[in-house]
Amino acid sequence: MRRIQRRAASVALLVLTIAGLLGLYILRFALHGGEWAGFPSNGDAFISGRIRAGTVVDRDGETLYSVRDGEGHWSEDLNTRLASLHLIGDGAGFVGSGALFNYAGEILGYDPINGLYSASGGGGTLTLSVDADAQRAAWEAMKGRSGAVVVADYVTGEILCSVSAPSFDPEDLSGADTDIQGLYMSRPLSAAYAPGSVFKLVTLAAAIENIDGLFDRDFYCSGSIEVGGGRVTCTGKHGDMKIEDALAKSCNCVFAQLALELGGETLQKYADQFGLTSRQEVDGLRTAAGRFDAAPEGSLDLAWSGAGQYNDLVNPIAMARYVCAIANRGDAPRLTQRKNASRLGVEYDHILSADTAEKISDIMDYAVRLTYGSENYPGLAIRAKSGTAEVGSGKPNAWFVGFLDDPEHPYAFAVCLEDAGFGSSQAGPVANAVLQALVK
Amino acid sequence: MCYNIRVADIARKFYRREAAETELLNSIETLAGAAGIITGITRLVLPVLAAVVVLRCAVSMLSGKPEREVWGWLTLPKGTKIELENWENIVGRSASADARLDYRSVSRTHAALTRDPQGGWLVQDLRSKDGTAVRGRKIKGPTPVHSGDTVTFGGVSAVFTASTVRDEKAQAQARLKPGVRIRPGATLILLTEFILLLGIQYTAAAGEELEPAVPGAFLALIVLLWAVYAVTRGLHRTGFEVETLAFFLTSIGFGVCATSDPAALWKQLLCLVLGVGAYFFIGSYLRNLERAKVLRVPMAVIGIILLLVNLLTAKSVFGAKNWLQIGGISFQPSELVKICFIFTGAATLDRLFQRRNLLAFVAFAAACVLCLAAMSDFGTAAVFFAAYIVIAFMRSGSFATVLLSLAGTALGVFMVITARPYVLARFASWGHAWEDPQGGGFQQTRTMAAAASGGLFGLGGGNGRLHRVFAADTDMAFGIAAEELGLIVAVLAVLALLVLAVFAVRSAGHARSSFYAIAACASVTVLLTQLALNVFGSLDLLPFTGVTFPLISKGGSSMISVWGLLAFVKAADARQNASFAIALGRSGERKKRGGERE
Repeated sequence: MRRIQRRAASVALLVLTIAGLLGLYILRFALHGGEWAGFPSNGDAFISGRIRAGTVVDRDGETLYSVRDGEGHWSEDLNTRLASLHLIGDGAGFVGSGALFNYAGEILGYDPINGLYSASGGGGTLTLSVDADAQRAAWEAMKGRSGAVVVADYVTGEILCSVSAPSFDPEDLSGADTDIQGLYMSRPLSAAYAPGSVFKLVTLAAAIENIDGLFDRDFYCSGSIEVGGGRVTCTGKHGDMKIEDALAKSCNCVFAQLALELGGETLQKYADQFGLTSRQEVDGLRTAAGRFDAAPEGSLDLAWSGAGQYNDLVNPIAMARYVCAIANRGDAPRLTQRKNASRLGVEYDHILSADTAEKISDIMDYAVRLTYGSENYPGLAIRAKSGTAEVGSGKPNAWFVGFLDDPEHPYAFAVCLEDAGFGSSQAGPVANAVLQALVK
Repeated sequence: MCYNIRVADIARKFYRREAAETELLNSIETLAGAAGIITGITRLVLPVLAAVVVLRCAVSMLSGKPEREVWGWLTLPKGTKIELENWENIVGRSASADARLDYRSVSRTHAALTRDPQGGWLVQDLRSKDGTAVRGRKIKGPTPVHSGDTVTFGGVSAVFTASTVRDEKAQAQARLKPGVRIRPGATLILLTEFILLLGIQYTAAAGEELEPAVPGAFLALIVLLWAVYAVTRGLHRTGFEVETLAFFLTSIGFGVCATSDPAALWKQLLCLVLGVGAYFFIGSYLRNLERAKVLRVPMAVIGIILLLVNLLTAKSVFGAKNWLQIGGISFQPSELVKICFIFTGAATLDRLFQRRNLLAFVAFAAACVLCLAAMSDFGTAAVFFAAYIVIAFMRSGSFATVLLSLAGTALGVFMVITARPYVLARFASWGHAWEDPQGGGFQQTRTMAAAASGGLFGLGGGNGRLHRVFAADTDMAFGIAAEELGLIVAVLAVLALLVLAVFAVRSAGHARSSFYAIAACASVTVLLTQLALNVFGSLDLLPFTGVTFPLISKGGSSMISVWGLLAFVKAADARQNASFAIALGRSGERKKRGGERE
């Protein structure tokens, strides 16, 4: 019998295995319960695609969405609804990027102790980091043009404004017309645009760190240069210049020259290092990846790639993150759409040397004063770079990126309007409108 | 009456129709509100009651060292007395022998010395080198021995003494009876409250769509619980933990059924009554080892016939052909075969040393597993296989046997996987449920989401929605329990079965016969394997199969077979006066038999 007794212990192995698996499950439950509960096919969380309970508010507590008597309601204001559609989501599940899906656990009031049980039935409250006023201001300033507006706090990483156009009214799904291209896509998250001259901020960083005596060098622009059997042209004949003027005047000839000197591999290394070619994460949502192809040495493509043309693509949020690093002595914070998500300390990625960041920042300040006009941005300590990206047919994409050099208002922004024209004249006013709404 | 009419008149006069409607709505809301309040309070109380019930049972079953019993002695020429602590004892030189004779002329496993329930003893030589003799005569087959006989093992002679009826009475009185330190009655009162609150929750949540079966089944469960307890006390047995845990699990199973298919509760209840009947029948039958032993071959035949009939005639339900329909009642023969399997696999000590017996069992087990695989019921095949591994190991003690079986099965599994694309798909999605939530991970993702919705305390009985997923009340029963009753109660359900298993392992060492030890261990192996495949399959920690969570998944055949399997656990419980499946001991009036010389 003693032998049988020992052999019976084999069953104990099974007991231990089950106890181990149970422990593993409890651990996973503790770690991922919120995500699981917010699963769109969870009948306890959603009823035919619509969230069962909860409220979404902006950083000041303005209600953007709430469930009352089993019915979901968006903001009372049409422009707020249109501006925040891609951030919140619609009830029909067209827009995949919305908080109603991606933060469902929080909206429903999930906590690991009570799960989705709420005695009052009211669910929870998700406080987004965006400012509804800024959302409206951006939407109105975009004047119906397609594009993306992103503003982030470069100290905390909170996204203060994220608008995607075109949009539709979630209260009236007749506007959810599938013929409109990319209507359901959140452009800040999922678009990748030709950057045009805003990419010069990348080429500049590479040049500062790799070309000796850059700031002492004299550049000359005759309006165009010949490269590899083709021509890089400028908007005008810029004449004699220092590097500061080259950026402020956005001289293609100079940046083509710098790109040829740096080479495609070096430029690619910097684009990768700044996170412009990879997918960035915002609370688990992933942005579209940008693109930079290293063109052959001495080629026209290489020259243009340094000026943000050729195959270059960037995502608006990734671009805003790079600007955050310029503004923040090289440190890019982890971006989030939730207010106070960074309570436990902000995580930074050091993607740029502090010294280079400061040099770029100063040149962007110079560019505003020389080219964009401080008077166009009253009361704002703005530092910026515009971009006018040729995209084949139609008008160019208008870019305006930059930040406020103001500890009270540490905001970095990236605005891109599709098919809109010149960067500073078209995207600049949109940036101004949003920033004014935010500093108010 | 008069008063009522007047009130109605006044109401008709003063209330416009809308007002009356509002009033009606209000009263419905009040009702709903009341259900909400009931849930709000009871959901916090249920886990506490459940925890105390499981803990009390666990402590009662697992605390303290099992008490030794002495049934006889071997006295060596030098005067050394070796105690015989079991009914089945191996005499030999090996360190693992029950009566160790460390002499070179004694074989490692020399002889078996076994006692029957009436106190008669037999000695049997286990193919030792130098043989065994009783009173100087070399023995061939099993030979009776009596107190005072000299038994010679190889070159060593010992005088055998059996314990007397008086010895045994004194021993029985000195032993602690279970249920003294932790009173089963108190545990039962707590369990009754648990079931009562469950019933109230499910009744309140049903609102106007209440099926009478819901309160009816929970009340009947309480009545049955106390009736079983009364019978046990009537038999002067004080161990009631196995039954308590089983009723605890059954009540959660009733909850799962109440939320998914309340009308089916009557059938569940009927099957519970049949299951409890099977439990008592099998347990009482097992009391007599001789009677139980002879069932081995008939049980094997019945098992194989059931599976073959099933294989040839059954219709396919949800992919697996394991259902049989007779006269409008459908049942799963494979559930009943589990009982046959245990009977066939268990063996007394004297048979353990005959290779022929083990080989016959291997052939039987292989036939069962192959039949199930042919029915595409791979989950149940895995359950039988696990039980086979445990039985084979306990009988042979040989890792080689186990490894060989595992290797052979791995090959078989590999062949099945490559031959059947849908089985392959199950394996492919294992561990990746969230990557394919609308395909291979459909059930698992929903189970995890629903379980998370419940948190620790649950949404309240009847308030979950996982049950709307197809076959959730069997395959995702853990998810439904966790969703509605919370993680604590769901985990306690798992722990309750683990406690039963550990108890069976502990009992195995002190069972009166290796037959009981092997049967108990094999039974809990069946239960644990089902539990593991059901729970962790639905949580994406194991491949998803369609086996049931014992007593918690909805299903009549399963209810009966699980209660039947529990009888084997009960039969191994040799604590004093604990188990109705064990005779209380020889009474003085019984006729003296050969073994006794007072």
